Amino acid sequence: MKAWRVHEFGSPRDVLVLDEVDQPTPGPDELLIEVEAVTLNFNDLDGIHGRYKTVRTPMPYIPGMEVMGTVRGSGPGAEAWVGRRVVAIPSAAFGGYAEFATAPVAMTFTMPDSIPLPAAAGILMPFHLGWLALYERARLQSGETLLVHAGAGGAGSAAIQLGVHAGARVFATAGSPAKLDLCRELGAERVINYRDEDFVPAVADATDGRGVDVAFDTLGGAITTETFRAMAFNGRHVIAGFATGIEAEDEGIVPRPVVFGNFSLVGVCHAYVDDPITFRNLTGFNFPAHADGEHLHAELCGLIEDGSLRPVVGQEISFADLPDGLTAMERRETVGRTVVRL
Amino acid sequence: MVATMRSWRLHRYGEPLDVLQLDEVPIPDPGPGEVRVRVLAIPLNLNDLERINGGNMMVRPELPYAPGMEVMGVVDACGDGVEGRLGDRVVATTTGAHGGYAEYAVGPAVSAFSIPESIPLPDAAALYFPFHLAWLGLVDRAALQRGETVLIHAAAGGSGSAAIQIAKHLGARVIATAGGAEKVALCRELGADVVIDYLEDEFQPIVLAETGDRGVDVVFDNVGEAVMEASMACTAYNGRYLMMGFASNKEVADEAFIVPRRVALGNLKLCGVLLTYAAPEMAHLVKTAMGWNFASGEQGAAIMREIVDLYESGAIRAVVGESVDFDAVPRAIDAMANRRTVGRTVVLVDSDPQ
Repeated sequence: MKAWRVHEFGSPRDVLVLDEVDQPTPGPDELLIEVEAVTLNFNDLDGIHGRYKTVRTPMPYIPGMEVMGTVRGSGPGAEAWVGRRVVAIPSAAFGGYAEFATAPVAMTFTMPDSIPLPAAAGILMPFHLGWLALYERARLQSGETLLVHAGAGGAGSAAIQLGVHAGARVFATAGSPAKLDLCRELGAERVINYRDEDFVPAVADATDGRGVDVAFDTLGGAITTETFRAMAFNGRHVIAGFATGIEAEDEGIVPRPVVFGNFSLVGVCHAYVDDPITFRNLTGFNFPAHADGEHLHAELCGLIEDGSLRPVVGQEISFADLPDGLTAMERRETVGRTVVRL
Repeated sequence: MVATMRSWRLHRYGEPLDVLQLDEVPIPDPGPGEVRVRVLAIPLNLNDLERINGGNMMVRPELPYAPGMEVMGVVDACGDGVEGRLGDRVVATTTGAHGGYAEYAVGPAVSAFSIPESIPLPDAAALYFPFHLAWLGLVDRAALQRGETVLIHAAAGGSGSAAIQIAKHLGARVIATAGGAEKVALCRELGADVVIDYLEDEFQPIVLAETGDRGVDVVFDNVGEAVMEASMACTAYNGRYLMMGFASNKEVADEAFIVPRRVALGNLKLCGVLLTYAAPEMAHLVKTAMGWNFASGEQGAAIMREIVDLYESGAIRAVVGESVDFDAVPRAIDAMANRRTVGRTVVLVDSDPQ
């Protein structure tokens, strides 16, 4: 099969090579998916540059942590999935930039035929993450205020909509007039161009000086500590990503502003497992059960079908243009999600 | 002639027994927005120690001064704007979190809360800081639910013993840690379902076993560094970890030790909890200058009413390990520093009305 592979770490256009490789074989409780679309993620870029420490990859390796397609085969225990239209996080969160990919059942969700491409490929990462972050962890309430950083991005555009759907007042930051327009169109009542306006006073102004109840922060680093100043009493600051530099994932945060801010730092990790307790005993990590993911996935698909939520796919590109799509993302030239069609 | 009072002051930093001395000093006058309390009782706080040994302090008062961040008594003088508080029986925070080890003390009216005559001493002096902190943590920040499990560290101490009772009142299952048989017995008596003597056993495996390997829904941690890693390792999915003090090592409050990866992979909430009430102008100033959030006096008054109601209904009780007289202040704070106390230590003050 054809696959884009990294042979050495570096910039996407320099190091991705279109190779002919063997199809992967699904192991126990894994599925073989014929890929119809790959959706690009910021963490793909971290992996390609050699900055991503969450997952150790072999070399050469096929990046790609989000695919949409049809199940063509299965390992033992997952036979019932063959033939289903699905979205999935491939095994070990890489291997998606290919014609076929394997994925654990725990990370795979059925995609109803009623949701066409490219929208079908734009849902899994941002809407699951946003749902877990805003609804489950932060318990965003109607009438509360929500600040969404990078509101025109994949995760941000989903978070704005989930905020509006919950009845929250949403403020969004973005870096260009077109991106600000998108945030507004998705329902943000106040948009802030971070390139020429400091968001902390803007948020203070919009909240009578209180700050926001919830912040959805996919940027990390200095933006995170700056956002602490914009949190309200009893606020929830969701750490959902590190787009300004993945190193921040392992760089310590000083607790004093959190304690004196009387707010909470909220962790959210979008990954599901079959058996959370067994996984916890092995790793010490708390991951939700696939069954819980299926429940929220069904609710999400219903809200997308009835038009309450819409995946924002800003770019649809061909498989041949995949490295260019990553480069555009890296340069902050993209809006919403980039879906690569096979 | 200026009226004077007795006050335990330090002229240099050091250990309580070495540096606290009984001075005769002028009675302070309240400034605008402040009340003066004729002190009937002084509940001691572990944080008073920093103001005696010169440890971690955000604002360093000028020597000599009296430590003491919390007092109970009767308002006998009022500054501009708060004249209505005259005669109130109150629990109060002292201005600058010092000045309480004295027969008279001044504090902001916003953090002086009425406490009814029906609650006798020493109990009336023991219901403020620990119960407000427990309430802000368990109710406000953690939204602790009936049937959830909470791990409470240093559970025989002032805050811990309050937290056990508030958690039981909310219908939670309580796992408590404490050091030594006497403290363990107190935790049991207050209603803790499981008590771990940390001098005998590591708490982490016991907490995991008690929760079917899930971990606890809420951790009430006013110890900090010494228990944090092991406590996070037994916090459940969607758990709330209350960071409310760093008794075991104050310096870490300003060290970059919260690793985002750990919080993310734990799928948990790391909640900051600070007990400080401020008037609107001060709260606004602090928000604008520092980004911090101080609670309002209205919120504090509402919490005080809840606590008074719970006390009067018998749902909670003040845990006063020891009542001592004013002469015994250095010995009493020294005992607290050496972890020899249980519950709260209340100093009863025989102050004369002016």
